[in-house]
Amino acid sequence: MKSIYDMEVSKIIAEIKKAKAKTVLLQFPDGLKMYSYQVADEINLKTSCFPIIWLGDCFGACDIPIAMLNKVDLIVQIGHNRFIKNPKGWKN
Amino acid sequence: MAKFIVIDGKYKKKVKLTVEALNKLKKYKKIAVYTTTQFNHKLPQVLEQLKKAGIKVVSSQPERTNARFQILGCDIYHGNLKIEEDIDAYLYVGDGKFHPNALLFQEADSGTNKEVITFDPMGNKTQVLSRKDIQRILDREKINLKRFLLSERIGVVVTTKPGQEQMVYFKRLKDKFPKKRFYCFVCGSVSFSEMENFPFIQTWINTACPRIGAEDILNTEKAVINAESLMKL
Repeated sequence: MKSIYDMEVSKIIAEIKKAKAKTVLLQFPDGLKMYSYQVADEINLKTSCFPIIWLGDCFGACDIPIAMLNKVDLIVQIGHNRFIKNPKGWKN
Repeated sequence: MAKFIVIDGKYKKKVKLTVEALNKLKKYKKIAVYTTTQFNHKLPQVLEQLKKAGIKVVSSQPERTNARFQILGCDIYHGNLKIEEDIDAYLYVGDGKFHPNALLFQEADSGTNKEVITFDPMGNKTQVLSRKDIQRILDREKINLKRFLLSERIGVVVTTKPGQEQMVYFKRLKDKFPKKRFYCFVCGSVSFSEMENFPFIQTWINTACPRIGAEDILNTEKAVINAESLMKL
């Protein structure tokens, strides 16, 4: 199925090369998950970076799987925009 | 540590209001327009159509977003929108109910209950949403508030998700309700089924995504309520 959304794979590949990433975690909100294989295919075709697709929820740009931060070199979240967070949240 | 980037996933097809959508919008003089990051780049044509129809457009950049006109699902309290002018109604351009429902919730929060007209560019469908579309959730929230007031042992759920980790509420709640016993729980994604393991908790307070204390409360028999709703008591 052809994606009706622009996944900007060339931009993702440029980021992979810039970060010299060997592993990349790809995250999609539910509506875009059906197109995830297309991004993974193109990464496999054009780079030697290993694409991993996040199976779980991806409700917003706040939904970063922090357990993966030290396991992959790059995390790409498709379908969301930069999230302005309030860093004061955790501390009392 | 991994680098983190975001890609908008921009919608590639045309976005143009239909005659039906414009006719529905013409009864309003001034509207606020919101969309998601997939459709934001397609708004100029929609704004041009509204201008030609004589409808004044107001916009804002809600507090956690990265662009004007963009709305997030967590923008359910009126203050989140940062909108400075009075308007007659809202136009939401995009698909699904998640984001337009956020507009309904913030309208319920402000007590003005203005309508939200949705235009879905994928099927060119127009809908008019109003408070009645979320009334069941508002009623349940009121019931949960009453259950909280009668509860002794309270669980406060804090998530590790960046930007949602509102531990600050724990102390605020303890200060506000000194006679209740609060217990702090931490998790990634909030799961109602995990709560089954803690039967001593009579009411759960959600400090994570506020939509857990909105639509999701209909999916459990437990009393679950957003911390922010309690702070407003």
